[in-house]
Amino acid sequence: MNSEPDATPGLDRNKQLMRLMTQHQRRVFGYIFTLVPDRHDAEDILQETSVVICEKFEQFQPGTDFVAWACQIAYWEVRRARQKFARAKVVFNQEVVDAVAQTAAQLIPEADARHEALAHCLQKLHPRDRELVLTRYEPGSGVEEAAQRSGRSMEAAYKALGRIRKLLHDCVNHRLAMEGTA
Amino acid sequence: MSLSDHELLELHALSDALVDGTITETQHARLEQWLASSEEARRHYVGAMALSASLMDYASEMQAEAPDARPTSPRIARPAAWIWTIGSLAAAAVLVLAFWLGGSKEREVRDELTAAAPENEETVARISGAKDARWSGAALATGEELHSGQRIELAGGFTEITFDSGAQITLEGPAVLDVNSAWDAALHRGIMKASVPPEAVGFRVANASVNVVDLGTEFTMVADESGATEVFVLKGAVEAAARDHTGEESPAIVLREKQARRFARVGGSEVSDREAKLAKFSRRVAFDRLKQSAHYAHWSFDAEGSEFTAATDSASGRLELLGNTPSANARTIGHRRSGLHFDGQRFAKVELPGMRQRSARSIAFWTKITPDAPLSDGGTIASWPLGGGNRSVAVAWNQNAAQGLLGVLRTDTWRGSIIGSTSVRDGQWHHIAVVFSPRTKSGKKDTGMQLRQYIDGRLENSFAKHHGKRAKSAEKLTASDDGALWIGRAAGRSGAGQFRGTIDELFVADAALSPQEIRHLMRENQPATPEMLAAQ
Repeated sequence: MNSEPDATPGLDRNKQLMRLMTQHQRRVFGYIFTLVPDRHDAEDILQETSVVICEKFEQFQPGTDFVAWACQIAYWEVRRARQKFARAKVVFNQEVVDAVAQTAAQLIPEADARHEALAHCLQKLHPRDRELVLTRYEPGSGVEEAAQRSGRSMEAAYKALGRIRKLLHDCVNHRLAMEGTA
Repeated sequence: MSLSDHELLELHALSDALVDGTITETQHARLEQWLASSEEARRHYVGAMALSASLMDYASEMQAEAPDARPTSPRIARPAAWIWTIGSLAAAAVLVLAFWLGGSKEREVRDELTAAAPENEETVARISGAKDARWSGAALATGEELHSGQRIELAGGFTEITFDSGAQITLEGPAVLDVNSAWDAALHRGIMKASVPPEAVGFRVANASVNVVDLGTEFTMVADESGATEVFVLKGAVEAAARDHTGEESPAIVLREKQARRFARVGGSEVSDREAKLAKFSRRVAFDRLKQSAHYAHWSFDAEGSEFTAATDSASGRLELLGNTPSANARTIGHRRSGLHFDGQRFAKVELPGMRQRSARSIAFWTKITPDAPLSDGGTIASWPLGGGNRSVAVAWNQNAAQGLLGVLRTDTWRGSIIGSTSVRDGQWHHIAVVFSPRTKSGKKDTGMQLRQYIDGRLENSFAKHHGKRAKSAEKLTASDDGALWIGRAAGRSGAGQFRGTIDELFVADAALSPQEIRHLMRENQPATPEMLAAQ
């Protein structure tokens, strides 16, 4: 990944920052979400992270790995949020967060390949399943809405989603293994 | 070590439950155990979470482009773009980001950049009255919020500005005034009268020729075209320091009641026609004010027995005592007659319809907290859910010495905290008010929120947060869980109470109360009517 240099000298610094953020925000979000598995919370942390990225952008060395740098900032934002809101329900303890963060950082290089593989795997799904899973993940939506729109009971929707996610997960792993990047 | 199929299935199920929010405590512990002990489990988990994150990305694209569109090729899949808005934090330029689903064209980015800039300012005051006001700058309506750094340009007539600190300024046009913060304004031209209640002592008005710090008072400043400023003290006292042309301040002088001083950039002098001017400035202006009709619920905890019902016309409002200590001895000596005692076990809950909604709301109460209340207790005094998910607002005394002084009042939300500077863990009665207001600037709904915290009527701090479009759509409320106010325990938390202290005279209002209204509750123990406020 990141075969192209992450910053082109001469480009206006702000434009450069904007380009990098636009290009990589999804990866940074994916990283945060593994540590804070709640969409809304992860989005909040992404927002905080982006603020820090802006503030510290001067320190970013052009040509080095922007995503790795941004994820490091995100990691500290997760820690900060965790300290502040230790009461939040589903937060792992710090040891687990650290261990997962380390694994997630190691897996950043294959994140793009996984994301692209997923698009192919989504194509292979039965349209009804694809509709269900995408409805589930629409902004503002959830399992309940996905169940309603597809005429399923909540229980059936949870079950179907579990099955579909496993299918997709296996499909993505399979594709990556075929490409030899896994 | 390689995970067996059975173990993989379990990990799948646990990750699904986590993502769908159905995970039980046992499952959560089990997942943590897996993640702590097995690298393979962690890799699997990271893969599962990345899958969900990617699905969100694809699903939002689908929604943003066309509801029924199918994913075609990842190559044409556009990532959601970040939109930039220039914030005002320090001198550093770039700051707050808003999210945008869909288009990432730079032109849109720029439009948003200019349009959103004022929204990133914290609200620090509002227009509370007007009389024949004519505006040379942007016209301002009564009730309108003013953000830090906003300039008020009045061509003629009068306007009244109420700062969140409680200071009030009457501005007479033609005048130019900058609202700098809840505690600070700059008068460039024109006549202003400041009324500063004791709770807002320290309020400051400055310009190029003088810096006036209020010591609890009513004073008038007249800034003329030549750059000179006359300061008249109508009541109380102020500290005034002359400024020379380089901005250097001379030592402050104290001006007392009926005293006046003229500050030109070349030096101070006596004011001519002092008596006549003082008489003129002492007159009150009959303002047209906005009639805000807030609804209040009030628990006085004075009735015999252990039933506590709000003095309100709404159907609900019964406060339920919970926890494993008998409720019979919950009443104790309060701030006024009796109050409700919390022993670290007991907590209380009152169902309040709409409490969870992101609409304006204020809660106020008296509290006395045991000075040696142990740090191991949760410090939460009151809490209520806000918005979707497990988000809530919690009012607590600070237990984290790294973040502020121990025992000071703090208000926390997921998005940030207000940490005050006055200790409430001192065995004394304190009046506490927390005001929540959603941001609705520029006709857009729900663009953020602001919280203000008052102790004994004094603004401690405020906290503003703006969020983007994505957050807006992600927030969904269900009718079944309309919200409740919890006393002595964090909302949505299980287990016993955590608070040691006494609560009395609890008020909940469905409006963002003004500093005057909060002071009135504190002093009179009843909601203020517009007539009462006008007479103040």
